[in-house]
Amino acid sequence: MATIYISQAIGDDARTYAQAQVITTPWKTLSKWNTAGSSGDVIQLFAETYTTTSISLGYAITASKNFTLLGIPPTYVNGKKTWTTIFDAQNNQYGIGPAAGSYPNGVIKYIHFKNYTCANGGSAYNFGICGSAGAGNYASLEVAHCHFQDWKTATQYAGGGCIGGSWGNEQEDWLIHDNYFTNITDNNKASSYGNIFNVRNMTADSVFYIYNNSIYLPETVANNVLDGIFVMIASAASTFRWKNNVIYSATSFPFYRAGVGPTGTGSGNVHYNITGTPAGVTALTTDPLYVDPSNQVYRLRNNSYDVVSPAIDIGTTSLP
Amino acid sequence: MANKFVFNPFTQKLDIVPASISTVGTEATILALTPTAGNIAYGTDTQFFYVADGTNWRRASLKFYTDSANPDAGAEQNNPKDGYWSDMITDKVLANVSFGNNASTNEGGIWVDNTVTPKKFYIRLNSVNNTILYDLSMTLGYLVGYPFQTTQAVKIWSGMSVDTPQGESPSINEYKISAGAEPARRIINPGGFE
Repeated sequence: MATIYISQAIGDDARTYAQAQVITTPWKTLSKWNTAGSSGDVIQLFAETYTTTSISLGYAITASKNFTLLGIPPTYVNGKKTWTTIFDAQNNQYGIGPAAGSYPNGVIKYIHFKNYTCANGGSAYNFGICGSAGAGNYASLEVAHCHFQDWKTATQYAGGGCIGGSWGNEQEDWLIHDNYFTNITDNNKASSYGNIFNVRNMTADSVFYIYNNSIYLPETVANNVLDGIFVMIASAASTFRWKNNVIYSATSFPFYRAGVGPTGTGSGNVHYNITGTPAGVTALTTDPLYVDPSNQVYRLRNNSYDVVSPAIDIGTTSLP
Repeated sequence: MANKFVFNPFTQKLDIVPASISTVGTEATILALTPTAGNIAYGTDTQFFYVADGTNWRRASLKFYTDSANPDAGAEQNNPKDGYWSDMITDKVLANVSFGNNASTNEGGIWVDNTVTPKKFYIRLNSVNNTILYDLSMTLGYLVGYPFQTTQAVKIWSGMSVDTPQGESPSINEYKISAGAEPARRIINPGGFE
């Protein structure tokens, strides 16, 4: 277990495991860590834009090894939270997910994922931060301080979505917080179901904690609007907590796709143009008033006079 | 014993000295108090802080807002309640403001260069400094400029100068200047048949 460095610009997969622990001699791809890394490694990425051709994003992590994947923490530039570690999938249909039979504990932080397009509904099982076709998911997954931008998702339960699980198996524990999800659309609404969170099954002991995320969905074309924020087949004994999340949608659509979803608990949410808040969850329904969402500034407007965001100071302190 | 802030008229800054008095009340109540140097007060009706300098009560310009133990919803925390972040402001009207220089190279930056004649108004877009205005004005209902760096105003839409020196054609015709004393007459191409 060590800190491993990966750089598209200066990396070389011919280097040894020991060399990759030195910042000046990193590996080049996640796939190299997949075959040569150790369970429990911290994978530190550089401030670079990683593409599919250089880092093999799709199916990148397939081994049953626990990992922590870190980018560089974002900073504010001209009022906009700006990431420097960027995964630009360039319309690749895959994401990062464990393969069949793998159940790693994964932590993913400080990465800007953008330009992902799910090719179609039926075969893209491992689209997004999720498990692969057939079987295999995370034993536990934490995704925090990331930005999911310009995704075109699809599928029903089969692993589609920014964060989703595969068809053949269950998700266990999720901790999803402090992320942006912006301009997420359905790539093929006519034949599949696009969602942000897409789970095949919760197990009886699953816990899903999702809090303090900002979601901005400006899509107005009916065929591109998501079918739901969430789709999930619930187990009665599982735990679903949805707290302090802000959703702005330009077009009204349901929280759960076609009513598929569990009862949850949670408060401190703002759901604008979202119907069907889960039983047990409370949310305001007014516009959260992002400062400048078209320019990716998702701070909250407030001048204590004529513009007052309803999302300020309404969150619950009972987290997760 | 708590500290108190004392306005130093020589440095125009606040000095911190030991103090034990603070007043919380309406502004009227505070202003009625003797402004003993170093006393501080908070106006419950104005949300301003007040500091006494020995002669007057001085008031801070920014209000203080109530805070909550509850976080904000969403990924952004500690959103200000008056639109001021350390790196940006929102929902304000600027009045009686003039632009100076701008050392930043941020996109969208605007500034006025007063070192050149005529003065220029810029905006930075796509990493390029673009001149918005430098010698444009309105004359007789037309937007005019001075493309030849002369005093002769030229209508932007037509390229014709505003003047008619001989009571005939303007001296600048479609952004062209003829030699000689007489401006060239404008010949309209009537087109032809094919």
